[in-house]
Amino acid sequence: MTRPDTGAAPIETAARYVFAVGSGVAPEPRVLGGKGAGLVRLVGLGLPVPPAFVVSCEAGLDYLAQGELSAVASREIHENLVALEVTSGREFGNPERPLLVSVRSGAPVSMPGMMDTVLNVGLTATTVEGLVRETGDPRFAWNCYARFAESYARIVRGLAAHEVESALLDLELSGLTGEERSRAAVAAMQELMIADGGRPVPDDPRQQILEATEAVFRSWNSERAQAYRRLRRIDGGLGTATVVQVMVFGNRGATSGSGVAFTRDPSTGEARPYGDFLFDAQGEDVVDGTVDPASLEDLAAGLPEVHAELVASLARVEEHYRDVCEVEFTVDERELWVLQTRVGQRSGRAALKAAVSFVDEGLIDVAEALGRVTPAQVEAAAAPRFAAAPPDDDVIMRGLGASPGAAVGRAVFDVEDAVTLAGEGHSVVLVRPTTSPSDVRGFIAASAIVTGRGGRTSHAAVVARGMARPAVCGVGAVSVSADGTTATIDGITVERGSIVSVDGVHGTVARGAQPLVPSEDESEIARFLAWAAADSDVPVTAAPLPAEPDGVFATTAGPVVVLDDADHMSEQAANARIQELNAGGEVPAVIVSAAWARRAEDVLRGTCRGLGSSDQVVSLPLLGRGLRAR
Amino acid sequence: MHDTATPAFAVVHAARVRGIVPDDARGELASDSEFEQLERDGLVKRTARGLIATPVGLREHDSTLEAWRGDLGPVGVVAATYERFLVLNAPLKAVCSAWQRSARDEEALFSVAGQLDDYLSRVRPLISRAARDAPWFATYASRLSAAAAAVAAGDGRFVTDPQVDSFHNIWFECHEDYFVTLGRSREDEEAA
Repeated sequence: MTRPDTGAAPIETAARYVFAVGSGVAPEPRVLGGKGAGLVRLVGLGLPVPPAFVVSCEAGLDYLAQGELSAVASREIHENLVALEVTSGREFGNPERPLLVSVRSGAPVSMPGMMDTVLNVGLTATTVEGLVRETGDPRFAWNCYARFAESYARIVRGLAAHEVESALLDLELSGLTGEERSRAAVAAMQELMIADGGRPVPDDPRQQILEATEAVFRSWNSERAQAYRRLRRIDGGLGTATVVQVMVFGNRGATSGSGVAFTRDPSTGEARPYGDFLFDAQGEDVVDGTVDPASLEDLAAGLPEVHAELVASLARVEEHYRDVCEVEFTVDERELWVLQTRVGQRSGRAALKAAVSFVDEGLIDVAEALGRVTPAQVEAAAAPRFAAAPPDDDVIMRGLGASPGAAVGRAVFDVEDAVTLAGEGHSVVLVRPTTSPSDVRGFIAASAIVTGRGGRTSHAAVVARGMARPAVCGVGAVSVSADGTTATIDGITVERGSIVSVDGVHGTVARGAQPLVPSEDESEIARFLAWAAADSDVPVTAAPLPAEPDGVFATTAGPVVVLDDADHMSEQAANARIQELNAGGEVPAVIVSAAWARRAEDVLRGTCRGLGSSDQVVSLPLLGRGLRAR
Repeated sequence: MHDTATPAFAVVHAARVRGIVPDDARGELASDSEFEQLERDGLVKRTARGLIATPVGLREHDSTLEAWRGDLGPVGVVAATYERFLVLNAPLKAVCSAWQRSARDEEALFSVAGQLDDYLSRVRPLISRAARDAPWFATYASRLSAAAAAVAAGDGRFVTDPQVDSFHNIWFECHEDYFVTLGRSREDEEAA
C-alpha cells in the first residue's frame, strides 16, 4: 500500500458516532477509547499510521442498550469503509486488490478481559486468492484465512474454545501440505459455525466488519470485563470504542518486515533507540518470539531510509509522551507504518535512569520522576551490575540477554553438579546445550544460567526470569565432553569449576570474576535515592537491620512491622500477621514489598489506623535496603 | 516391560520427563511396595533428592515406548495433538514473557489470569485426546487447571515461577513429554 498524503482524508467532521483517524477529531479517550485516541495523536505527530476509523464508545453503549447498531452509526461506518477504500487504493471483496482490516477493542481505560483483536477481516474464499498473489505465499495467505476463521468462530460467534479445538483436531491432516491443512481448517470452522447457529463467516467483508464491531461492543459486558470493573471500581457506563484499521503486511519479501522499537533501551535506560526487527515477517512473529529477531542496526544496514524515519518517529513519540515509549511498526515494501504506541514496559534500572534523565532534560519535575518509578523498580535497580563491559579477550560467549542481572560463579554443565556445588555454598553458573524440565532444579540452584540454544521467549528464558536469575540464551552449540569436565562453545573450552561472569542484560559470558559494583554508586541512582529520601515522611535508616524474614524492627522512626512475604499472602492473612506481630504495640509504619503495597494500600492503612498507629505504608526499598540484606 | 499400563512405566516415564521424581509426587505414580520392587529390579534409584531412572530403566522405557509407537501406526492421535500444541506454544510463552515484563500489579495479574484460562480451555481438548492413546498426559490437564486457578485467586507465582507447580512449568513438562512420547528430540525441532 502507498501512503496517502497527510491530512487528505476526506471525512466530514459532522460525524456523530464514527470518526476517521486524521479527520481532525480530538484525541479524547472518553469518545474514542484509549487506542483510538492514541492513533489520533500519532497522526497529529505526523507519523505514518495505516488508515483507520473509530466507532465511538457512545455508539457501543447505544448498541448495548438497543441490541443493534443505530441507523446513524451503521451509515457512518459504511461511509468510513468507502473512505478507507479511497485512501488505501484497495477494495473490499476485490480479488485483485483486496482491502483487509483489523478490528480491535479500545476502552477509555485499560480493560483486560475484553475481546481480542480480529486480524485480516475481509478475507473470503475470493479475496484470499488476492492475498496469495500479492504475497506470493499461498501457505501464509491460507494460514491467515484459517486463523481469521478460527478467531471469528471464537470471538465473533462466541463458540467455546474447546469446541473450536475439537473441530480442528477432528481433521484428517496426514499427508497434506500447509496450504491444504489451512483450507481444511477454514472448511471445518465454517461447518462448525453452521452447525452451531447456521451462520458461517459472511462472504461480504462489510458484514464481517459490522459483526466484529458488534462483538467488540458486547465484550464490554463479558464476565471477565465486568469482574475487572468491579475489582477496580471502574464505571460500567464508560463503554468501549472499536478501532477498524487497514492491515499492512511485513512479509512481502526482503524490503518488508515487522518490529517493536523502544525510544530508549528498556533494560539499561540508555538514551538510544532499541528494538527487534524481523525481515519478511508479520508482527505476531516478533511478539511470539518464534524466530530470533534481528536488531534495529540490521534494519539500518538493510533499509537505511526506513531506519532514519523510524528513529525520527521515536523521537517525536517520546517528546510528546515525555516517557519511554514502545512502538509497534511494520515495513511494507519500504514504507514505514506505525501501528501502535504505548508507554514502554522497562526494567527497574531503566525506569529509574530514564526518570532522572527526563528531569535533566527538563521534560518532567522531580515529583513526577518519583511517581513514575515504583518501589519494586527501585529495588530492582539497586541490584549489583558489572562495572564495565568485559575486555574482548575475556568474553567467551555471546548470546541474547534473556534475563537481566549480573552474577559470578563456577561453571558447571550438569544439574547434579549445580545442585551439589550450590549446596556447598558456591555460586554456580549452569551452562547447558539446551534445556528440558530436568534442568529446572539446576536453574533453581544456580546463580545464573547459560544455554546454547533458545531465544528470549524460550522455556529456559521464561524459567530463568521466573526466578529472577540472570540468563544468557542462544550462545551457540555447547558440547560437553563425555566425562563432563569441559564444555566447548564456538572453539572455546571452559573447564568445570572455572569462574565465569554472566551479564544477563548485555548477553555476555566472560572469564574470571569481572568486578561488580553496587548500583547506588551510579550517579543517577544515587540522585534518585536522595530525592526519594527527601520526599519520604519516614526517616531512612542507615544501619542494617536484623536479617529476619519478617517481624517487628526498631528504626529511627520507632518500631516497624515488616512483612517480607506479603506478596504471597491473602489480605486477611497479612492483616492477621500484622496484628500478631504488633501484639498491641504501636507501629509507625507497616512495611511490605512493593507489589503488595500497591494492591492493598487501603486495607493496610485501615489496619494501621485500627492499631492506633500512624497510617504510613512504606515499601521496603525506600526505607533503607539494609532490611532486606540476608 | 512392554506395557505402558504398569507402575514401572509410569515411574520411569515421570523420571524421564522431569529428571527426578520428588518424594511428594510419588504417591500419584505407584505404591510404596511397587517403588521398592522397581528399585530391586534396578529400574530406578533413590537419591537424597528423589527418585531417578537408572540407565537400565531408561533403556527398557525406550523400548516400551518404541513398541507402543509401533502399535499406533505412523501417524497417531498424539502426533496430531502435538501439532496443535505447537500452534499454542509460542503465543503462550509470549503471554508468560509479557507477564514477567509487566508491573505484576493487579491489572497485569487479572489480565494474565484471563489469558491462562483461555489457553487452558484450548489445550484441554488436545490433552484429553492425547490421553486416549497416552494416558500419562491426563495429569497435565488437572495440573494446568490448578495452576490457572491459583493465578486467578491472586497468586502470581503460579504463572512462571518454577519453584511452585506453575502454569509455564507444567506446560514445559508437557512439551517435553511430547518429545519423549513421540521419540523426537528438542534439538531436531529447534534446528528445523
